Amino acid sequence: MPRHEQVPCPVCFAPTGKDEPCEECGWQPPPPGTPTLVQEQRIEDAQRLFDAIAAARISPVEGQDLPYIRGKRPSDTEWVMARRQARVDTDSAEEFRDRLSRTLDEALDDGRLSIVEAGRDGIAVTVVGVDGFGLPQARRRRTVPWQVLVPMLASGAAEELQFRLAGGLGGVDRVRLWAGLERALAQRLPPLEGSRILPVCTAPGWPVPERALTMLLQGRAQTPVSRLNGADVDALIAEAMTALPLRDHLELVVARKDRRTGRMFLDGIRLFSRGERAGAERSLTIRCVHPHPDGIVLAVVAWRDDGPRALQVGSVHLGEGEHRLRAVLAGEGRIRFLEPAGVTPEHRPWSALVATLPDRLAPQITELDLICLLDLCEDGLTARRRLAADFIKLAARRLPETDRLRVAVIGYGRHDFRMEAEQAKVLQGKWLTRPATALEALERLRPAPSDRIPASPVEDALHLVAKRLATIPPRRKVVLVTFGRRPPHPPREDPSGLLSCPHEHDWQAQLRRIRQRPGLLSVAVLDSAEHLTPAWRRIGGDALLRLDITDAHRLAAKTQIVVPESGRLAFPLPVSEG
Amino acid sequence: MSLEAMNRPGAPVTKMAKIGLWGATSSGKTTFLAALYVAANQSQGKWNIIGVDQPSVDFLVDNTQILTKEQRFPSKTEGIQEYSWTIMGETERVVKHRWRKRTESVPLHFQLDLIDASGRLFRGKEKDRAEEISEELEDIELDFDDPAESVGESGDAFDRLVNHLTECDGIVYLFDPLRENKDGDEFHYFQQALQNVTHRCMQNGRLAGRHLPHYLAVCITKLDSPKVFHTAHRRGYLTFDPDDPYLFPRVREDKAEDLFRELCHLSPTRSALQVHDAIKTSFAPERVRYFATSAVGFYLSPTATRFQASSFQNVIPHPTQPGEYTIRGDIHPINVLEPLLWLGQVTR
Repeated sequence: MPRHEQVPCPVCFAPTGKDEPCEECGWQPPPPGTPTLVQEQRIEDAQRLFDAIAAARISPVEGQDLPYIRGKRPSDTEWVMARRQARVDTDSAEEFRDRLSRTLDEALDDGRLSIVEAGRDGIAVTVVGVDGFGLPQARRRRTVPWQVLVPMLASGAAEELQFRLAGGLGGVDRVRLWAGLERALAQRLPPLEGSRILPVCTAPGWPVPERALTMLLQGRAQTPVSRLNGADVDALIAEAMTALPLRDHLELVVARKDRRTGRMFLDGIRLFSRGERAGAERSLTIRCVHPHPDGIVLAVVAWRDDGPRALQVGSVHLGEGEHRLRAVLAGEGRIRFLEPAGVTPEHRPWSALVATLPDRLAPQITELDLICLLDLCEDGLTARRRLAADFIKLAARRLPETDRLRVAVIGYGRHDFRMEAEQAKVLQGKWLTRPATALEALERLRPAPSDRIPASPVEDALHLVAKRLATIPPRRKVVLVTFGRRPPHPPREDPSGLLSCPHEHDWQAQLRRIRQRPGLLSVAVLDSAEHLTPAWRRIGGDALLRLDITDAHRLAAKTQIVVPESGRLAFPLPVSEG
Repeated sequence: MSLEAMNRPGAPVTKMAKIGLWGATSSGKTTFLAALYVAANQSQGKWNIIGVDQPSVDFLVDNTQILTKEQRFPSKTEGIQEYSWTIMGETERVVKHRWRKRTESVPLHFQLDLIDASGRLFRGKEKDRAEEISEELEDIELDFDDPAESVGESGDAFDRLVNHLTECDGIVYLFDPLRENKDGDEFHYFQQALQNVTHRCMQNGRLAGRHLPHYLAVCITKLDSPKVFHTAHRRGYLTFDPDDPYLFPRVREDKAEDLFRELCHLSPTRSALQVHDAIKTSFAPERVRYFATSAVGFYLSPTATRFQASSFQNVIPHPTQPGEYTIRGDIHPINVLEPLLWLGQVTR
């Protein structure tokens, strides 16, 4: 039968053939000859049922009283019928989440997924892609409201718009409505090219949202529309993303020492492997050496082609030694540390944290022999003695256990070059002993009167040290600190006029002997810069300090008894290193 | 023994030699003389020195005691001190026979008349800056060196000094390189006296042509100091006397003048180079000889059997007396007697 002229259906106003049943609402025109009153009553009943169905989609309870239902309030029988006809099959939240997870897993390998949600308020697009760390990231675009998409339905109150969207389209020119919607979708929604689309309708059965989704899917691979009732799509997306398996290994950043050069570098140890899912738990042991005062950085990185990228950086205050670390995968790229407790987000920039890594790891001192040599020349002796005492006390606090620290205090006075006196002893003090005894010996050192000989028997003190070093067990670290003023006497008299040591000690030879001990540090603290001579540069080969601007802490840092700020480690070490 | 008795036939050759001692302040003139007795004693019996009068005897006794027992240096000389000593020893003489010559040892005695004058006198009659300041600040009590010497007194003493040097047969000129290195005023001291002596000799008709008639022993002092010793060592000027049991270093005789010039170059003003030139101008070359000397010599530790270059300084700051120096060990004078013996011999 040839199609006739299209006229609006008297019930739903959808275009339909004259005197033909309406394809949309199922209106059957009355047979010819039906009395007008009867016809009018039938139309009125059909309109009321049509509108009641839309109202039932909005609310199965309160919809019965909506004022936009044409004619009188629907009867209970009519309302039951309308509710029955408004019912639509929907998916459960779990079904949708599973489907979403599957689709994400497939789509993220080679592109993005756009989840298009048509709901009561408008259309929202959430784009899920892979970020620079290889992790899925969801970005929800702003919802485009129906007022923008179908302005011709929004001339009245918001409640009326809802009624129209739900199907209360009596009196609405369908041709104009759908043409306007199609235009608005193209103009107002973000472009969806290049991404796979997952349509979801959270106003199931509502003709306008359903029609909008149909329009958006035109020309695309058939993707069934998911229909959800009362579900929070954003939350479901988040849940699905969390449940995704890891796409890359995740590693904890640790500091390592290059075995060949001894230099420190950052590396990673595996925390979670590719394919692991949220809830996975891992424990390992880390070691802290010279922990940084601002805390130990627990940084989780993913390795990309161009190197590691920090996903999550936290810090926690840990003491020196080994610590158990227990981490649980809380979601893609998110790690929760169960142990140690108290991990807080780190706010320092990653570059600043990396910059704290020392070039070399300061050795850990377990047993220390501290040898202090002091010029007993009375000028400046008080200051030298005070610094030496402070330094010994600090070292004793650092290594309080018995025998971990031994201290020698050797004072050197002056040579008396008169023939009858030149063999006189020039050294006082105490060889390696307990710190307290050494401090007493330090206090008892007798000053030597100042004279005009611009040298002092440093070489005698060095000779004593060189001779006795051999008795110190190799496992003990030795630090030699010379609190000096006048340089040593030379082994031979030279044009400078410095008298040579009457005991014929050669300070350079003694220093060479001392330097042969592995790991020994030799530091000199001079009264002032004016006393600096080449001899002091060699004696203070590891550090040369000025008495007036040096305190015990600085000296302890230079001698590595306390690790200087620059030598602190902000990163943990694997248990096997350090 | 009188000179008359000593000059009898067969008696030792005896000669009066009038020797002047010339040197700037602190150049070591008195110490040089004080070391004479020790030097004679260490000549292994070859030479002896005896004071002719009581002050000269006392000088030798006192200053030998100061140097060797008290191990310090004599006080500096005030004004002019005159000493007269007889040096007795042997010399070699060529004896002619009919067909051959032979050398024989003959006794040699000569008398030294020496004056030891304050170094300041060699600067002449001019007032020094300290004295000028003293006059400007007469209301303020300030002590300066030699406060008793007024300009008039020093002028008389200078005339006496010039007269004495004019009349001398030989002059021992002490050049202290350390002092010159520090003050750089050696020429100033030297030329004041030289000009006046030359003038006086010309007045007295004593000039030998354009030269002074004197023999001049130029003594570079303080060879034991590191600067002088190392300069000589570095230049290869050092040698030793094989007869010396301690093998103390000495400057080769032919290199002493070179050492003098080397040390002159170290002077900040190089004024000492002008001294060298003035010596060459004013003295006949054959009448000048250079010696590198040390009154106290090098240090020898109690355990050493011979000189040790590693530890040789014998003068050290006194350990308890500020500003003072002390002698570290025994003294071993070097070239102290030799300039006088040379002068004694050549002025016979």
